[in-house]
Amino acid sequence: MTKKAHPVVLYVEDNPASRRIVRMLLQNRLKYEHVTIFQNSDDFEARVLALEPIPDIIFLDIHLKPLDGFEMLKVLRGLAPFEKTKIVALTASVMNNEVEQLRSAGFDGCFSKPIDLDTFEDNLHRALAGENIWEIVG
Amino acid sequence: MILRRLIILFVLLFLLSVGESLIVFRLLSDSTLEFERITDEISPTLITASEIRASSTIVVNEFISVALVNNTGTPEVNFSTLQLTTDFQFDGLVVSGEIAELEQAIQTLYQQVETLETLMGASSTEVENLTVAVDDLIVTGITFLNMTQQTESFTELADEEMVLELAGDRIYVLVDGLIVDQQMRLVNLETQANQRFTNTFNNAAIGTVLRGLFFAVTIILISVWVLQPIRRITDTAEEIAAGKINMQIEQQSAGELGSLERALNQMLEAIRERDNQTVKLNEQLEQRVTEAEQARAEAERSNQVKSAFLASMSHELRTPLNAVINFTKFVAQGDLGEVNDEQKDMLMEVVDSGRHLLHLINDVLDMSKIESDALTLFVQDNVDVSEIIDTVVKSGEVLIQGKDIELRKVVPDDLPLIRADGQRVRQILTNLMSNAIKFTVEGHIEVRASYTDESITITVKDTGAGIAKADFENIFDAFKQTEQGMLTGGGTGLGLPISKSLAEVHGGKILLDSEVGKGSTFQLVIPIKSESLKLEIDQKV
Repeated sequence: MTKKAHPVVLYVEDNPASRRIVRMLLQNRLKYEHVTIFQNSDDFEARVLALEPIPDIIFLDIHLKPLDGFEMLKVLRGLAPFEKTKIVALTASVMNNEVEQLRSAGFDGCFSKPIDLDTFEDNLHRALAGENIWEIVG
Repeated sequence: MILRRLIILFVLLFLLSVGESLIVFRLLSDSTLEFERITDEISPTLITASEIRASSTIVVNEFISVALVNNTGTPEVNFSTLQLTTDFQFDGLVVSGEIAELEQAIQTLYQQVETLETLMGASSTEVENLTVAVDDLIVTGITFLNMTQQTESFTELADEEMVLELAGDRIYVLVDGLIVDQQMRLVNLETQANQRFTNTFNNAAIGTVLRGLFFAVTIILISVWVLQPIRRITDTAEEIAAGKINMQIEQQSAGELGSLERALNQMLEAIRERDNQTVKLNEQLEQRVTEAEQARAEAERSNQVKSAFLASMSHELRTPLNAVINFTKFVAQGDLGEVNDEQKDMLMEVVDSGRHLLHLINDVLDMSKIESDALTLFVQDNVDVSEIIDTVVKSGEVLIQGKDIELRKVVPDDLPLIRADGQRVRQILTNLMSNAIKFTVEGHIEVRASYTDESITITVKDTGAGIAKADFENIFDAFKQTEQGMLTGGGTGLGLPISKSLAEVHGGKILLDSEVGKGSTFQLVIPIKSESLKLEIDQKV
């Protein structure tokens, strides 16, 4: 697999502050070229398929409308281009059985909010390398 | 009373049997003895009588023989001088040889009469008559003999002979009569004996029949007096046992059976009482069970509510902090343009406060979960504690900056991997480390790891202020703090209580050894593979 300079990232998030933080980190600071951020999950399937290039890693906020994190995941897993894509949940809390739900739903990991700027990049690369990171808090 | 009746009956029966046997026995022996005695008496009499008969015949014949032979020279015998005795002798007679025999015969005859006298008694009429008859015979014989001397007239001799024979006959008659008498007696006795035997036998038979009747009567009485009442009571008791608990046993009997009836009825009453009580207790119990179930259901609902609350609180409280911390960071770190040192300082303080606030929120949420039993672990196998220690020590080094503290790490290369929630283990160790740093002004802090077959132990030892024994319990108690803690400020005071709970949920514990002024040693003991931890997520290889 040819290693791109920077990973292609998709982030779906309805909270403006969170969006801005990720953009500041990945685009401004780390200079990733391909960072796409959806504000909601409208027309999710169409929009993801229209992406070019295909993301290497997708971060999903769980509590979204009209599709929530789980539903988006299901859609993605059903689309051929995204079969191998790492899909990671990004959330401010994971309670009790939510972990099990995330796992059995098929998420490759879960990062916590507030985002830790110091470790985010590292964890991202580890996730891309195939490690399942479960930053469970809350 | 029944038993007494029975005993009396059977004793009587026994005595009856014994008495009967004795009587029968006695009668039989008596009869036998008497019979023997009389037979003993009669036999010799009969024999002697027969002998007398025979002897008389001999005497008569001898007289006749002598008479035939003796014609001459026989002197007259003077009857007045005649002594008829057993020693009878023809004195001075010139006789032929047969006289001796005649004398012998007469003597024998008299002897026999004497014997008979002995046997039958001197006063016996038969003996008297016989004695007279024998005397008469002898006299008649002698007269005959004299006559043979005096005359040769055949007719006269024949007549005298006739008289002699008649005398002999007379003896026969008497003897025969005697014999017949004795024989009759014997027959009578025999008959009597038989009669008595028969009577005794009949008596015995009757006795047996009576005894049989007695037994029958006894059995009937027992049946009526004892068995029937018992059967009646038993039947009623069985019916009651089968469920008719409200029946009573009829009071029909007296004495012991009556007592039994009463006692059983009392027992029934007691059982009914207890039944009622049991029913009541059961009702109460059921009620309490229902109440308990309701309480449980409520508690569960309450817990669910709390869980939901915690979930949303967690989310709501933390989300703003994302902006607070990270936006400030970006600005402070120059991503939005240059900032001077003063600005940076201030902004970083904002970041610190934000982090602190986050920490507080996490602690409060953790504590709430622990309190409402809502804490769950994210358990994984093969958690590398060495790595965690490394991380913790690194961040510790950052915190230490400025203080004169040496940070040491002693971790064996072969520290086993464990089954645990890695993040929570890190949380505990971070807590211990930050406590150590907080409370130590100078000296060293040592982090040491060791292990056994069952568990690993991580020791954080400092040369800090130490903790008073009195405070040992308090520091693990939420919302209580040591004096030092209050003085140094910072922290929520929840760190150790949370660490303790986290350790315990893993099946482990936190140990403390400390002395004021001498530093503290905190130890986290964690099982390598706690049975109580269920794997939340399988490690994907």
